[in-house]
Amino acid sequence: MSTDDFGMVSPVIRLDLAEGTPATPVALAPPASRSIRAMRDLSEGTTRWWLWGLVAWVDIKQRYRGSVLGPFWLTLSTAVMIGALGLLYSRLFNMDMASYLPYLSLGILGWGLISVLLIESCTAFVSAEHVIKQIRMPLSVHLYRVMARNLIIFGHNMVVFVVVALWYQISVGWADLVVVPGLLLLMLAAIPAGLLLAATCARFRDIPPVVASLLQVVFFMTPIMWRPETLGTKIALALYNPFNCFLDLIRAPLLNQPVPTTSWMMTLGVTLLLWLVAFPFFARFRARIAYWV
Amino acid sequence: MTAIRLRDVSVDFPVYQGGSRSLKKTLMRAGAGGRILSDASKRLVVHALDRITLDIEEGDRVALIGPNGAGKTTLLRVLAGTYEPTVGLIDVDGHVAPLFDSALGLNPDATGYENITLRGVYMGMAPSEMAGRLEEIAAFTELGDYLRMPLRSYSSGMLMRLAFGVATCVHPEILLMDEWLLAGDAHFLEKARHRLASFVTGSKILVLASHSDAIVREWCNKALFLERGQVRMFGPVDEVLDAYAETVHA
Repeated sequence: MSTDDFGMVSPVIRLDLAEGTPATPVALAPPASRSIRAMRDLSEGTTRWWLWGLVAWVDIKQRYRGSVLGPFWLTLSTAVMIGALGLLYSRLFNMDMASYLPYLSLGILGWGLISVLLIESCTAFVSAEHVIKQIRMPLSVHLYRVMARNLIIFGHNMVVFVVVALWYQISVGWADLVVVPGLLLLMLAAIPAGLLLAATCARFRDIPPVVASLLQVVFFMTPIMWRPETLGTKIALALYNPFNCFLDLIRAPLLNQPVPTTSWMMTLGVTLLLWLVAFPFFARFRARIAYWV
Repeated sequence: MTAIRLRDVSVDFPVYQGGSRSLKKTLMRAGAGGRILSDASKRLVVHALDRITLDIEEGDRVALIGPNGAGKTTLLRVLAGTYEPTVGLIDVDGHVAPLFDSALGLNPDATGYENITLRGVYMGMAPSEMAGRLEEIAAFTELGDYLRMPLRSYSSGMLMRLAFGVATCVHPEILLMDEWLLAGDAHFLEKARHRLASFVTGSKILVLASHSDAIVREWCNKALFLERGQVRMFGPVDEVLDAYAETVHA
């Protein structure tokens, strides 16, 4: 028996050295199907909430390190935007500030969440390239991180609405809690949409600017700064606009209005459709994403 | 029983460049039929790994050697589980800790302590678990008060100490390393060596990609000679290194 370079006795290693590979090769079981592995990716990703939660939190801290207001910088800029738009458009559309400003602020806050989720999903995998190539972890973790980060920021921005609601004395009741299932549904739709965007953007690098400019168009087409009723007979254009329907989930309950049935149906339908498209897509290409980024 | 088994593992690597990175050009190509197909075929496919069959058993300290582009890094990534093989079966039995890049998961604006937690979490530990090991890792890195400073004030050697400290504190059964790791100062190398030594005698596996004869002979008992993505030779370190040296000088 001899000692190795580290001055330690290592008989096991010598034994292995002598034998090399085992005489009878060990047969390996074939891996689980693509769909099962994709499902595992999504579910194991959710159970690692401490990972994406912490990283999302560090993301935010990093962005605002050294600034006095921290994440509330964003809140402040949102407040300025809502205030300015409110003043301008209540004049343009001849609307009463007391009802217009709460409507506008929720619209802008909700739209901010939806659009930033879509835009940042595009870079969810690409920006995590180093991690994806080095450490095995569910890919969904990177998407959940983007979602968590932006939900936290959304929470900060909601302060603006709270101020507006206090100012105009909007009553608060248990019915407001309908916003919770609404937000959950929005997140449930954001996962497949984000998977689609993150994966295709890893492969094709020219998609993110396309998404950003499309969203710009959608912003003006969606009732955020204007009300659906102003469309008159063409109101269906707004009522069946999926973005408007998702906005309704957040906006209506907090404005003490019932969420229109069309909005519930539409958002449920869109969410289902997104999953039907995104899941097979993700299952098919999940293993290739590490090669793409 | 910790082990790594590969059966006929191949990895084809699409190299996207220029036009094939663009959705617009890809769509236009589809519309234009065969006319610009010469442009389309610019999509290179590299056979990074070609039918690799391999058994690494508990206690093996394997060096990956071979010329540049032989597939060492790709193989490490396959072992780490980040690249799923295009063809073939792989079974990695044991907790894997890859140690490829000292900057992984580190945030230059966060302090050393924060980064220890961050990196540990990336390596698969819960933040509460990391809290318990923080002091142990801090002591190992010998960075002292530097740990309270933002990471951007660290030298590359200090970064490496931090990374190595976290990576080996998770007590992985399989450690995958690129050569960068062994470029520390003599004092730290000695410490790292002791840590690795206790780690290897715990009957675990080490896979190390290296170009340095000295490092390979010192750290490994087996070597895998890769050439153009294929296993040219796998066996005791001295034999394989001699064979490799012959091909280099031939």
